[in-house]
Amino acid sequence: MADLSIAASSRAVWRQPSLIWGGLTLVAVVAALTLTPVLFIIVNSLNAAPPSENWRFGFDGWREAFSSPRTLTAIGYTFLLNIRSVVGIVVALVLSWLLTRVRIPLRNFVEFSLWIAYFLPSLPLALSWILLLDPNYGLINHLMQPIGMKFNIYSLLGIFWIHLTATTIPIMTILLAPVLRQLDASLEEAARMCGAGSWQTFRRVLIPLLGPALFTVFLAALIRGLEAFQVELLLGKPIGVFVYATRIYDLIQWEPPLFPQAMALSTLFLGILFLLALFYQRYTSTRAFATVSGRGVSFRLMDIGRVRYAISALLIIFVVISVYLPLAVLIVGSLMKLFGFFTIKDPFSTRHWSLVLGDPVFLSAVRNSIALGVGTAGIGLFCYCLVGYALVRTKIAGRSLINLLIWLPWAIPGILLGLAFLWLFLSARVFAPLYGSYLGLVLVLLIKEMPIGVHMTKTAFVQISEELEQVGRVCGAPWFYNFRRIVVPLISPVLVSVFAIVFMGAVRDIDTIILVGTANTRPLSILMMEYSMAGEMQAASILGVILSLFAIAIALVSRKIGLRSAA
Amino acid sequence: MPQPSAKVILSVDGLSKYYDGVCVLDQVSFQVYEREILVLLGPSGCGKSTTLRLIAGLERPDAGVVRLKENVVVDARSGIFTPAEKRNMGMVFQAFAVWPHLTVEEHVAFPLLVRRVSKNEINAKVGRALEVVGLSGLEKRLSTQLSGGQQQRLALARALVYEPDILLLDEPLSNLDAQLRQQMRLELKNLQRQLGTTFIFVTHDQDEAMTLAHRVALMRNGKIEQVGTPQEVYDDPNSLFVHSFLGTSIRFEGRWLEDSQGGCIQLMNRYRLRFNALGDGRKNISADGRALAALRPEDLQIVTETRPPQDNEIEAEVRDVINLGDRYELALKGCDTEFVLEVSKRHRVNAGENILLAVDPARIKVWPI
Repeated sequence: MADLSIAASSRAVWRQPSLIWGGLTLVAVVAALTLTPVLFIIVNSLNAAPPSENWRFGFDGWREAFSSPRTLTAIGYTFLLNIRSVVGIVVALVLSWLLTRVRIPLRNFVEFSLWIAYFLPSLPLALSWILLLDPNYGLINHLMQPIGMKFNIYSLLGIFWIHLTATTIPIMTILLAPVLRQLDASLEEAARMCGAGSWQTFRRVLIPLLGPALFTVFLAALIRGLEAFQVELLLGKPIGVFVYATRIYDLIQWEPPLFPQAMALSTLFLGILFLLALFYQRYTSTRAFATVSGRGVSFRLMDIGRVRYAISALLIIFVVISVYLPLAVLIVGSLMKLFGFFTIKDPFSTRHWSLVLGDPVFLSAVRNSIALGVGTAGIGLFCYCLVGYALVRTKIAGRSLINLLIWLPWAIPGILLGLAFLWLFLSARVFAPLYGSYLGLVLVLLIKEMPIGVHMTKTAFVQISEELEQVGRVCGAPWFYNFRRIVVPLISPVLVSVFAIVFMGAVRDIDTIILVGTANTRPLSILMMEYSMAGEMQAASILGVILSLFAIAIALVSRKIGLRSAA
Repeated sequence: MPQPSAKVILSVDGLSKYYDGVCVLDQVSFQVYEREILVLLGPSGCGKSTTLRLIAGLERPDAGVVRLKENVVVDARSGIFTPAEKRNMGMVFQAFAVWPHLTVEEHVAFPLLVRRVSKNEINAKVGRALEVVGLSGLEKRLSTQLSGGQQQRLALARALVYEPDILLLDEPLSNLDAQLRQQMRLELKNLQRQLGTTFIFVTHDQDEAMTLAHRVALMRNGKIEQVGTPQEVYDDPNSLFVHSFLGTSIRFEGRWLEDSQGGCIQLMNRYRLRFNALGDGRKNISADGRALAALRPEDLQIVTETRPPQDNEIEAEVRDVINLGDRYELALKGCDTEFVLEVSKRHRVNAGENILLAVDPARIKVWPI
């Protein structure tokens, strides 16, 4: 009875005026933030006028974009490279199942390593893989020379490999493991008792139960994969391999920029992603999540005998290859006289470190990075909480619309999101002060991180029983007091995670802010990009090391707080 | 027990609630007297929890008025709505709803902090409340370190510490194991007697209702079926549903028969049930003359002598005899109905025999089929 009334109460017929007005305001704000760039992209894709003239309607951009073989191959490469999501979800499912259900030595270490990987910026990892697998001076290639094997990181397979190990699998595992942890193991044990073997249980019970979650994770990784940019630019451009995001960047870099083509290409992907999001919402709304009941979840880790050492070894080899080897190589590389040249006499030196650290540009970049991270995460936490709470706990009007709109920023490549806001800042006088300002960057990053931020807080609110909140109200606590004393402490582990993710997202971001920022607001990530594009690999790798240290620190802190609140 | 002169503390008038256009609560009205335990009893989905949540102010009704001590706290028509935190009610949830991040002490202090009670007074009141529910000595424990029964006591202390006008309990015992449930039932009853707080108690368990209630309100399909003391409702149910929901109901199908002695219900063309309240029974008979006679096990007595059945006597076949130690349980079949009767051990009954049962005519209830 209680369950029935709670489930049903979210769809009450009767609405107060305040819920309607509140809902409309929220819809307006979210729509303004998310639809502005979308409209900007669509409108500009239909611009047939040359760059210096006024907007004129025409399909020239679309025609040119999709008659260019380079664009078509870029689309082809994009899909080819995103096969990694399929490979990734299989590996991640097995990994997260092993980590959550089986007693494996050092499994906490493995999981923590994946957390680090999740926070690491991808550009420095690409740099260190260049050190290892450059066809001319790569360290591994050097070692492999006697047996005649040679890898080339500047290849499709190279890009595929870096993404699979450093982003796709860690992200998917990090997202899947908590879901598995919340899934009552007695569901699986019941299947066992019915006579189903491990594989049968996996296939007939676990996979269907995890269906919605698997789909979410797959989609999240796919979308992030579609807009992946840094590695593709660094490794693909030299060999003429372009993907969707780098092709757009390429089109913008032309003189004069080919905006209509870039926008047309982007609109196509927007359409695809929008359909995916729509399909996703339909799919998840008709299926009950088996994962939301946090109560009475019990499971004992399985003992599997000696095989556990073998599995443990495999997992550790995986995290070493995906995280620690590139990190170590990056540090070594940053200490070299000449990046990658191990064969010269006396190759190591700390000279570059002292040069970079002593540079006032560096110091201001550190300041900017921290300000950007703290600002975005702080303001973001507040806003995402507000929206998440409104979506889950109130009956405001337009909730399903907002639920769809918040995903839009993920459908827009960062570079175009930045471009849209650059245009907005420059064209409307009201927004002019935002150009080149710290606040402007924060605004763009807030929008960029909105999907994950709101999604996580929403999940958190769903998972704490509504009764815990209601009992406070009945005791006489006013709404805000109750929110502060009961609700916030209960979801604090999630809040810490959201803060960490948004902070790191802001600190490592390159594509979104590269156009909006100026020299005054330049953070570490942009400085690193500039160094590496200018061929100063030494300085770039040093900044890569520093950004990685940020990532490790953030992973450590969020892990520690997460563990403490779990205990 | 509420005296006839007892003051009404809460009155519910024409309360209705719709979810997605489906009516889950239909014009519910009842009154609650000061210092009584009113139990809302009914099967799951009958609207009893919804009623409680509407009283608490956790949901808004689509129609109806709730008054707490002369004050209107909600009136759907005029849009009056006092939020939950302003109603000075207490609530205990089925799943306890204890906050995992607070200690026992912090829990109980929470409602007092909200009310800006002074520090000394908080300490005193928390101590007293914990003593009342038997949690003294556990002040510093985290709520999650308590057992189920202790968590429920904590929820109770939290709800009682600020002396609410009414305590609302939403199936508070159903998450406890059977033994603890029985013990807590009695504790709750004692507590209420001691404190004199008015309780509205929601449950689907009839034993709980019978043990605790001063008055029971039976609900079904969003409506109140009957309100009365447990004895009234048990002895004088006004519907077949109430008869079968409270206690065991044995039903025989029969026909109305007019004979030389007036009228009776005839079962299987052989047995005749004559009941005292003839006029009353008469109006409960279907147009085609069929009727359902409902009885309780205690209304049937074994007739020891061997003779053909007379009026108000039926025969039943003994299907099975189960020895419960101090008594027998008989599985019987008579007049096409299977039922169970517990009898004392002085009756020597064997499986396969036929026995004669006398029916207490004053207790027969008749309903149309």
